[in-house]
Amino acid sequence: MKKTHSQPRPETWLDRYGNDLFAYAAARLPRRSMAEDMVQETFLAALKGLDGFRGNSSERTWLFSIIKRKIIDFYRRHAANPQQSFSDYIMPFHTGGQDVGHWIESRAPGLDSIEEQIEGAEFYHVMQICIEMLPPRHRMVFILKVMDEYDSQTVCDRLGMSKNNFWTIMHRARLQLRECIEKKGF
Amino acid sequence: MKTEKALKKLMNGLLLDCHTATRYVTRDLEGELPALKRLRMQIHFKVCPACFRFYKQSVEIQKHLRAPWSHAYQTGLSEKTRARLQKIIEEHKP
Repeated sequence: MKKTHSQPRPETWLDRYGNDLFAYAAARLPRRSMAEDMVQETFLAALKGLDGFRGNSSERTWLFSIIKRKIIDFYRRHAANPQQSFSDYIMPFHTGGQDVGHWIESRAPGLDSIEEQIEGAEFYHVMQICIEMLPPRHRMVFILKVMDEYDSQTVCDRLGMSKNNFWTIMHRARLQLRECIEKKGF
Repeated sequence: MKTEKALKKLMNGLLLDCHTATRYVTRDLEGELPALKRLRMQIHFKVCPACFRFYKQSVEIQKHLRAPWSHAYQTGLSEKTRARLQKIIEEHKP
């Protein structure tokens, strides 16, 4: 028999899910204020759609599905702006000469472990700064794939991009993020 | 001569530049790198410590990114925002 969940109780949302929704959004958006606004938009959308809640999933799952969709919409809007989706990151490889395709020495990974260099809370802080420095489209692709663990085809479908474009973005994002973290966000 | 050519072809096939090796790392971390390319990447690591470091660092970053993030935002919603959200819920609930 299919499990159905009880009716939503909006008066309990803030205490039960407010901080978790905020943490989810804050890890994915550039500014704290944007994450707070996203929680507000989520609650408003959920309140409007109360009649559509059929109890097939829990209240929590339902609210998270709304905020996930809203964050994807946010990035889709921003990624549509060519100026904002432009990456000025210069690849850390030689583009000519006998070393073509190999690391530019000053930009090659220098540490065996960045975890040992930057510990605990500082690591997250630096990582957050570095993720924010990625161009919006790169950030969204990276977040959907690595943090939310969507498969690559789903990311391509949602953001309307080719597989080649997807892997190019993932590659650049990883290179940029690693370099940024090793330099502690500078 | 034939053997020499075949060997050269094999070596060229196995050797990668760092740009390609890091592209392979990106795919490998998502479990989407075919076996032969994986082998080429691992051979490259033997001769290129920088790419091997790139791989190790990327694994560390991946591990942290997939850990729950809530502890990084222990402060949660501010009191001001909580009050605003509370008001909105009160006003819009059926």
